[in-house]
Amino acid sequence: MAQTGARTNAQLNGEALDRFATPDEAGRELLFKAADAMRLSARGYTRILRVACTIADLAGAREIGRAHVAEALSYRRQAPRA
Amino acid sequence: MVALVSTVAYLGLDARRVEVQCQLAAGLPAFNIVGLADKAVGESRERVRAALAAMGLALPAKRITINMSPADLPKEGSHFDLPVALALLAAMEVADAEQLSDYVAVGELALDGRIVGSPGVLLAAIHAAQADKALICPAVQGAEAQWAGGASVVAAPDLVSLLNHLKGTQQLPVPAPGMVEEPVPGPDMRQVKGQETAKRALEIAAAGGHNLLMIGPPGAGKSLLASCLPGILPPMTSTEALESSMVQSVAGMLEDGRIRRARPFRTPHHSASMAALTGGGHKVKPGEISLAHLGVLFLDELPEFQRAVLDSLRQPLETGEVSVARANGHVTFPADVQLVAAMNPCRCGYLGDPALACSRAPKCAADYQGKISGPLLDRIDLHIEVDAVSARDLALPPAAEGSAEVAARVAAARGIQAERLGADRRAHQCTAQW
Repeated sequence: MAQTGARTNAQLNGEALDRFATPDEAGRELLFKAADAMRLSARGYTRILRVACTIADLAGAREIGRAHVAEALSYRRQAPRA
Repeated sequence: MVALVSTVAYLGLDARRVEVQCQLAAGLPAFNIVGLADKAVGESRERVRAALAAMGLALPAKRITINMSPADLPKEGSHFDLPVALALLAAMEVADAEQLSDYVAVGELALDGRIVGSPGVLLAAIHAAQADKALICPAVQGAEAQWAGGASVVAAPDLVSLLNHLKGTQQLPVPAPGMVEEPVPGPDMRQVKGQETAKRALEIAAAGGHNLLMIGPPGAGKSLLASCLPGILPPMTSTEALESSMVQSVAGMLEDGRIRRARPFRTPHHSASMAALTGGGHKVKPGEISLAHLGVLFLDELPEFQRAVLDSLRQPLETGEVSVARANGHVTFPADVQLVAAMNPCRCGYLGDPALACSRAPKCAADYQGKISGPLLDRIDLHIEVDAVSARDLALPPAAEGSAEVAARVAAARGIQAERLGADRRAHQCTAQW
C-alpha cells in the first residue's frame, strides 16, 4: 500500500518541509523575530511553518507571505505562569 | 495421518500465517491443543466437539493432537475454531485434505454447527489474496471479506453446508461486497453563532490536518465546534477507507461489512485508561487513537484525563503509529490522527470574567492548565481561546456560510497539498528509477 510519505501539511517533514514551507523574505524575518521572542522549540518552529503553509494553501497563495506567518503565530499561545 | 489447514493470527494489523495440524494417533482417547493457544483457543475444543456432534459425528476414539505452527507465536481469539474443526474433519477423512490446502479458514463455531463472526476477517482476506489462496469465512462476514478484492471467498453459514460446498453437492452464493455507508450528517457550522476566530482555526485545522486546542468557559460552544469538524473534512480515499476499516475489523466493529468513507471521529470519555486510549490490555486490541486513524481524536475536558494517559499520546502524535509492548511481543497499530482537544481555562471555568470567576483566580488557572504537560502542548499547532457568546450574538440570524462552503475550501486546500506532495513523490520515484 502506498502509505509512505505525507498526505497533509501537518505531516510535512525534513526535505519536503524545506522545499514547500519556506516563507518569503518578509515572512522569514518575522518568524525569526517571533521565534526568539516566544522561545519556540525546534518542534514549535516547524509546526508554525506547517500551519503557515496551510493558511497559504487556503488563500490559494503560491508563496508563504508575512501575513500567513503572522496568522500562524497568533495561534501559538503560552501557558499562564503563576 | 496429519491433516493441515491454514489460518492466520493477528499481530496488530498484520495477519501472520498459522498452520493448524491435526494428528490422530493410537492411544488413550484424548483431545489436546498445543502451540501457545490462549483461553479462547483452548475452549475451541468443546465448541468443535459439539459442532461435530450436531452434524452427527462423534470424535474418533483416538489420541487427537492439534498443533498450531509456528508454535512460538501466541494465538488469541475465537477464529481458530473453524480451522481446528476442518483439520480434524480432514484427519477423519470426512473432508478432502488436499482441497483444503488451497484455503485460509477463519471463523468461530457455535455448538449447533453454525459458523459465527469473529474479528479481523478483512485482514485474513487480504492475507489470503497475497498468499494466492481462497478464504473460508463466516457467512455474516462475507461482505467484509469481499472488500479485500483478489481472494475468492467462501462465506459459509454452517459447517454442513461448507462441507457440501467443498464436496460440490451444494453451491454457496458468492457474497456481495458490503455497502458504503452514507455519512451521518452532524451539526452544521451555520449553527455556531459568532466565534469567527474559532471557526477560522477549525477550517485551518481541517485543511492541513493540524492539531487544535480550544480553551474557553463552559457553554461557549467548544464541543459544538469540534462536532462540526467531521462535516468539513474531505471523505477518505478508497485506500484510506480500507486502511481505516482494517483497524475497525480487528476491533470487531465492522457491522455487516459496511465501509465508511467519512473520517472516524472518536470521543473517549476523560475517565479512559491508558490501554483504552493507546491500545493494549491482555488481548491486544486497538485503542481509541488507532480507531481514530486517519480521522479525529477529540478529547473533551483535556485536564480531567489522567496525566500519564495524556503523556502516552506524545509518541503516537509524533510518529503516526502506536506500538504496544507486552510480555509476549510488540504490536504496532497505525495512529495517524488529528488531535482536537477542549478545556476550560480553570476549575470553575470562568477565568477572565470578573463577575463569575471564583476567588482563587488566577492561581487556580495555572494549576489547572499545568496538568497538561509542556511537551503535549508543544505538539498542538493551533491554540485558540473560545470566548463566551453573548445573548445578542445568539439572537443573530444564522451565518451565511455553512459547512458546505467551508468543506469546499478545505477540499481545495487539500487538493493543492496532494498535488504538491504527489508530484514530489513521483519525482522521487523517477530519480530512484534512474
